[in-house]
Amino acid sequence: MSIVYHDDWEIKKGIKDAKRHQDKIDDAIRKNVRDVIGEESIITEQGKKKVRVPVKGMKDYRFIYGGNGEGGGGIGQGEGDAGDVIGRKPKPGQGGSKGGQGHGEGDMEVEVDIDYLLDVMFEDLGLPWLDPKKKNSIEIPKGWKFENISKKGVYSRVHKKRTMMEAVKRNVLFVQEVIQNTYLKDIVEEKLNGFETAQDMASRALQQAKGDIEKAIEIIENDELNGNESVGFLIHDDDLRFKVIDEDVEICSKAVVFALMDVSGSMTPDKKYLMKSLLFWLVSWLRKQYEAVEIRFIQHTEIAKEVDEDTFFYGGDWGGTVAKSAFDKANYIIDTEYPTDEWNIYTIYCSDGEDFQPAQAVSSMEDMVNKGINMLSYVEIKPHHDLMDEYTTYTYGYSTLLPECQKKWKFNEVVVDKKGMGKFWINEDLKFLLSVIKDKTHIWPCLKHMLGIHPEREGGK
Amino acid sequence: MKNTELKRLKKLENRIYEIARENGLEFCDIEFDIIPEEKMFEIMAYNMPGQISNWKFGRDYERTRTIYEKMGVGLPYEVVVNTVPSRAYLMKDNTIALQALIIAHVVGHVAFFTMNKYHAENDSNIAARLAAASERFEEYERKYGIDIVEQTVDAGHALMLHSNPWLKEETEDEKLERMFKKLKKKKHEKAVTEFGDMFEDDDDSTGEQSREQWNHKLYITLKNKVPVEPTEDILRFLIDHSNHLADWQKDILEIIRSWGQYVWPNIKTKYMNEGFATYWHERILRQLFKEGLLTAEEHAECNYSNSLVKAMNPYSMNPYLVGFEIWEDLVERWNTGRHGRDWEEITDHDAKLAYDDKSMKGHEKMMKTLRTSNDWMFMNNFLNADLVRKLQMYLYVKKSNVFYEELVITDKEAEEIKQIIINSFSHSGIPKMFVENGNALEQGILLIKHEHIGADLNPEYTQKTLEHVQFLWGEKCMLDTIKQKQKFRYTANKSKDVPTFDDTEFKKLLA
Repeated sequence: MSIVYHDDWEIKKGIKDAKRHQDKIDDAIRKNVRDVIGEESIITEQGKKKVRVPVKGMKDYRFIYGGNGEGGGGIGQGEGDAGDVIGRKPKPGQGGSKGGQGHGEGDMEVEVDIDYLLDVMFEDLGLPWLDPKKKNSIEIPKGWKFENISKKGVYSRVHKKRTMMEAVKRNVLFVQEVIQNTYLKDIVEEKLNGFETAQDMASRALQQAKGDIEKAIEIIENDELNGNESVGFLIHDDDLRFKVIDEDVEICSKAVVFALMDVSGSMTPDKKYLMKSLLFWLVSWLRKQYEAVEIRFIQHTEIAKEVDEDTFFYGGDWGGTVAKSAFDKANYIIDTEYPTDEWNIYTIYCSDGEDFQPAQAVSSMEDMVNKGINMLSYVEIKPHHDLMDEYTTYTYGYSTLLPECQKKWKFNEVVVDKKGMGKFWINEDLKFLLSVIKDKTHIWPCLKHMLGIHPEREGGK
Repeated sequence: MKNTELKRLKKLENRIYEIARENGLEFCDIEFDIIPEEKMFEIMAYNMPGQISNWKFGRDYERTRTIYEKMGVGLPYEVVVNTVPSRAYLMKDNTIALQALIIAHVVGHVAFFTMNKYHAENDSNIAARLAAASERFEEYERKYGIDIVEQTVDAGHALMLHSNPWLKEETEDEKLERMFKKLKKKKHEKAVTEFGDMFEDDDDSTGEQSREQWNHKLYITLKNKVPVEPTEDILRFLIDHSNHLADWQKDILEIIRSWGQYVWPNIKTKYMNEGFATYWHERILRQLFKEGLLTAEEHAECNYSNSLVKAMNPYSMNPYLVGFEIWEDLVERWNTGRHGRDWEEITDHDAKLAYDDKSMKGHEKMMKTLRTSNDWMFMNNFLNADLVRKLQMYLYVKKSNVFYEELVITDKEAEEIKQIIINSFSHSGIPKMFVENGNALEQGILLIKHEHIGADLNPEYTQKTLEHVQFLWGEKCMLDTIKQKQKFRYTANKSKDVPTFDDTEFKKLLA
């Protein structure tokens, strides 16, 4: 029997296997990123740097009893009576449509950096603009500025601070040099305040020698310090630094997102969730591209008003549907607050398409497009259970706005979901995307097309 | 750790052994290693030094580390390896008090291993075998790639508890011989069932020649049957009969199977074992305090750690607490004679509670139970409604409404809960699976049968585990069970096109 003390253990295996586990998680996230983006839990955790993401297929599979989801349970211990709730979590995919796949009990959740998730997403999308150089920035002339420093220049533009800094640096070196080469170094070692005394003497010798280091050494060695010089330092010609005049350009990297939404009675929480999800990813992506991103929320019925985010997603109103009002409002805000030569402008409009005045809406859209915005995306949401589905698939009997747009402009059609509803129409020149989506499985393709017509405007604006 | 501290710890260690022995605990030598915390987390995750490498252990290692960082110091972390001598670990930065608690707890475990009959045949070489295997497997990773090695290990882990370490290991030939004799005997008893068809035309087979013919026929039939008799030992069957496995894969599976056999006794006696160790560490520490070997402060610290060990968990039973309370109740009842028919028949409630015949048979009963029981027997014999109430046990289910998944308490009725708990310990809660046929439909299909005893299998886990089996078997695999009161068959096949087959023919084959 014994107790032995060890201190020299290696933890090779644990680290290796933990790494392998992490690699598997990364792999799983990569594989599932398309499903992950529809997860409510990510969208709702706003402003967080990290999000919890379910990771599938990383369980210790073996033969066990019990069902998934409903009906599972067990024996617990503690206070509580029949009927008491002892645990609760938001239902997976709650708010999303039925189409997405829910994840079963016990799916592992891992914390992932949202930036990492975005990288994986955009990598998967095959989008090329992860290169920071490609950031869509605008250069605005702001007059002149002094920024660079040169060793040559006119005395009126001496950069005092930088010059002093150089002088101090050099003086310190010179003083050291003098100390090291004279008996002062003995003082440093022998006397109590030797270092200060030596520094003081070396400095004064340097003053007396007008900065000549050889001379200063001589002065010390021959004890010729005259005592007239105070402690200080000399500014050598080499120390001088001058300001350089440059043309001042502000690199402006700002974007504003206009989130427009129809909030008439037919916009159910399901539909709003899809909008929210799209907006979340669009904004997350823009935040990676621009230094500053603002979001303006405009909701409309027959009239439009600007609201805060909560009202936008969780409020509702009764009334008709006039998209024109929202576009007019946005146009007004752009005109007054977001000059297009300083701001990158993204507009995403979400509706179920039953507009009362489609022609007028299209003309307001045209106004917006003509301003030279970076992207306009009209997302029409048609959840599966909509009446429309029972009729012929693509007649859009219940959509007025979409056909109106198609009448006005020419679009290339892209079909995502063969049997279903995911359909996109793109006009590259206008940076205009029309889309009809059904459920959260379409968030991915919609985003892909939205960002795919991204606005790498030649030469900037 | 300072030398003086180490000296004091050794002194405590010796006294702990003495107290344990005075109380009738038998145990083999124990070697304690004092190690840094990081190493402790690794050993905890891997369960044994020298364990083979796998991502699951890496995951657990990270998890333990994170929990430690969040929960902080104070939790008594312990790992005991059941070998001879036993090996256990102490974390370097623990206080002396916590070390004493862990030593006392470990002594409880080692006594349990030494005395409990389910641990009697433990492979005490397992640590060395694993360590050697671990090196070989690393070589396999280099040679064949980590992916396939990992897939093999994962499949092995999925199936490692599907073997019964207490069954006599038989070769196929021995099995054949046993089955032959058994069926022959049956034939003479005219109670032939399983091979009915075969015997029909043999009814008048009393003559010598026809008996020989009959014997031959039986022999051939058995010989062609793989396995000769349905077997619980899925890994053994796969190692012996899969045409798909390379030798190195068989090596991996063989080691994991041994590991499974090592783990089984622990699973079967988890509650008894943890309860027993907790019961004894409490008593031993109290004694150390009484003798002045621990200060009042140190004893208070032990009590705090002890309360963490015995904390209730709202979502599951805590084996330390539940096991402890059952032992405590058992000792109390046998000390006072509150058991047996005479006591049961006392009708007056107060008199029943106050009954005390001063028989003091508590520890005697404890040791007797310890030697012969497993968790299922332990629960069956000693869990009672009073304990269920004392342990504040409840039943909960998962319910969901529009917004939430909720866990809701549904039942606090002690008798019912007791019964549910007891049932859950049957076969340690692990579904019983039998390899029924390795050549079903003459197509090389592996057929596994689940012995359904009330609860349904988890569909996702079953499907994925069957896919592990399929990976090892190479051909299609099927698993027959009952799902929602209907016969149900899971299938796993590498290729998508599953051969269709006539179910009637299949039934005939298994008749």
